[in-house]
Amino acid sequence: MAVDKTLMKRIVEHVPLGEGFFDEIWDTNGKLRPHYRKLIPLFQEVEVEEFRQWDELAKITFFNQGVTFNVYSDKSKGVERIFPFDLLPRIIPSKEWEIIEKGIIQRNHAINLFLYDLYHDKKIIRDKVVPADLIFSSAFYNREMIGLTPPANVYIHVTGTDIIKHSDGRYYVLEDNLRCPSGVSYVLSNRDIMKKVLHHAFSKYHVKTVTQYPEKLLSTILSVAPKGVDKPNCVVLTPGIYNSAYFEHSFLAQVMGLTLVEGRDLFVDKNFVYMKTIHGPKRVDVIYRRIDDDFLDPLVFRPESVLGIPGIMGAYRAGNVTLINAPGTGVADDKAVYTYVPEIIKYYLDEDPILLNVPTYRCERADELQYVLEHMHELVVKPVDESGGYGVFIGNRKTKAEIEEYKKLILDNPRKYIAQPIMSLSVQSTFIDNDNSYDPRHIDLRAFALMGKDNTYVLEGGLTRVALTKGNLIVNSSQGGGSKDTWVLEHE
Amino acid sequence: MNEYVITYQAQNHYPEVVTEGIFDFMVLPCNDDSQVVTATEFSNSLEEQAFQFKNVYGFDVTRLRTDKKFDALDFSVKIKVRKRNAISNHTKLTASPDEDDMLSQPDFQLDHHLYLTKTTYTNITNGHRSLIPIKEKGMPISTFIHELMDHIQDLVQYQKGVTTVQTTADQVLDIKGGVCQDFTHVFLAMCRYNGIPARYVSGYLNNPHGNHDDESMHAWLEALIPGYGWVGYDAANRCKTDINYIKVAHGVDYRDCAPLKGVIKTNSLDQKTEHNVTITIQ
Repeated sequence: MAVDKTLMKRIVEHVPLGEGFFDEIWDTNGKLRPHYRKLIPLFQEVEVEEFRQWDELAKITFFNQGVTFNVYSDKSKGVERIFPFDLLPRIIPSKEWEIIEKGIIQRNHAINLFLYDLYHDKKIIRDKVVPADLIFSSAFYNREMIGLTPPANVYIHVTGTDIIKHSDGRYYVLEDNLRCPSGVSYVLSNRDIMKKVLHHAFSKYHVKTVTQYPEKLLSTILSVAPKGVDKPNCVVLTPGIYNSAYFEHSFLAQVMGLTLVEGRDLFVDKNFVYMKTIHGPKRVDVIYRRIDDDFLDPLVFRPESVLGIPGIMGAYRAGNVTLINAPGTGVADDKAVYTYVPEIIKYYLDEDPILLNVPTYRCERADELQYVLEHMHELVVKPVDESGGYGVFIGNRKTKAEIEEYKKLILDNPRKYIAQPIMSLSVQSTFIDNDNSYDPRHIDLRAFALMGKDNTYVLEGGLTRVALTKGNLIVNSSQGGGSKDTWVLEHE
Repeated sequence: MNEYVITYQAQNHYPEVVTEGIFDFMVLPCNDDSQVVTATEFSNSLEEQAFQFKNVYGFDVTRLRTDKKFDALDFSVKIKVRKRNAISNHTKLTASPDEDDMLSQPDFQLDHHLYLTKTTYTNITNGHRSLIPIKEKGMPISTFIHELMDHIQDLVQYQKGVTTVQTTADQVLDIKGGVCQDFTHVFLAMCRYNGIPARYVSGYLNNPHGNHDDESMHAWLEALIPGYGWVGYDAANRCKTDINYIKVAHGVDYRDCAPLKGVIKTNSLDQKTEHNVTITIQ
């Protein structure tokens, strides 16, 4: 007997949302946005059982390819998990992508100049654009970098900019992630699996490729090798198999054809770095390190670190080895410094920022303080010197009395507080296992960019992260988040 | 002018065999306006060649690396230094009337930010804030620094064995005792809190008067007096430094100047290090 498909509940439907939400797929009238018109019907024609088969195939493929991450909690000690993956891709039209790409290149260019300045003449501080206290009180201001110029003046070779689409439909940068951003391996494996499982959907679009990332990363690494080295020996340095991003470290080393090493595989002799091999020591010229600054060199930073290479900072300062990224970049992706990025762009490039920053009101300025005090109910107020969410005040969840109480705190020490509007991440339909259907969830985008000697590159795609819990705004993988393939279109 | 012969010896003993080791020594006097090194002679029991390079502040680090197996390492260096009094020691420090003004200049603060910023070692938290004297406007910095040293003598007793190289200024004020580097950390914290740039100095003290010093190296600070430059003060001995103070290095705190840092591969956490310093005048 033939089944009348129109009578069945379709797994993807338009779910009307209240005001203040931006739905990536449907406009406010419930009409499909143009770039989803070929995709959504494919999901609406399929029955739950068949969809489940796609999903199962995707899961098995992830496992077989070893695309897993370790989860640590009291209940599960180092359990290998696959990063929850949703089959419905996020599509970014080419016109929108152009803005993102140009915006990231501009931002990174300015931040790189900023880092050089902070460790040399500090002009931006002398000119009173950025306050001195903010920089020198940062735990990430690295004294070992003072006066040092990395090859080609590049500090931030690899970045992962976190971007959201707000309810106004515009893109905002949340974080710059200038240290060791991870997640790019998921971009590549998500794409692989999409092509395999949903080839019929993929072939309906002209999607920009992501497969050249490893090649671009390798050429970035090679471009900043120490001067006079003919065939640089480059390695990927991992903290080891217990690190949650170990899969990514080994994956990237493998696809670039580089050796994956741990700190104990390397040693420093007379300011050169060597790798221990069965044929004897082999000099190392560039290290794509996936360990934090603090752990790099126990002779200079944390003495108890066993992950690093004792003496490496001496070799780095002597210019005999290049570290990717340069140490000390964290000073520019501190929460408070972030608020100055629009000024930083203006200062070094004399341009207006292409990508928006979440607007920030600094209570130290009288006019902004006034605004904050008058709009407490629609703002998030944060102390500048706390992290981990301490002291954060979310206006729309507070009573009048609580607001008055908090106002007093601000007035006591306006210098200590900043305020931002409450941002709303856009939503996209995501398959919810228990419901057997799709439901809107908040998403963001981590976009990966590279900067080498004469090249900049933004990966045309990125990691779309999903907050799997309804209403949750946190999209981290360790907090129960998932991911989606991100399709950047060649043309509209 | 004095000519000194200094020997620095470090003897390390390990209960288990060490299979790989790297050691950084910061024990060579630097060359500056008042001192010049005329000879150095290294030796070590592993017969490894010492390697020298400069740290971020431009001071010599002597590095020894080995992959020979060993359970003891003797390192020694013999140095000849010619030393005369620094210029600032000849001239009487008279304060320039705009000292306070200089300290408050943003460019001045920026140029010396390293020596004005608190570090883990030189942080005095709220509980002890009231112990920090505040310089009165118009009081000459050098006068204030002498008062600070008197004040620190009241707060901290010279006492060996009550602190370690990890002890912070805050902890010293709890313990109320310590050795030269502890006095120096408290002293640094109080100078910086008053906006006076101050840096940690490690070196050797020729000790003809039997003053406080440690078995190995001594520590004091240099404060920046606008119009004069960096001037040495020793809080443990409540005095200005003189021809008997032979400087090795400076930095923001002890961690930048530790005479010996090492990383070894071995199975036991225990180790014993003895430092021995002799200074003679030729």
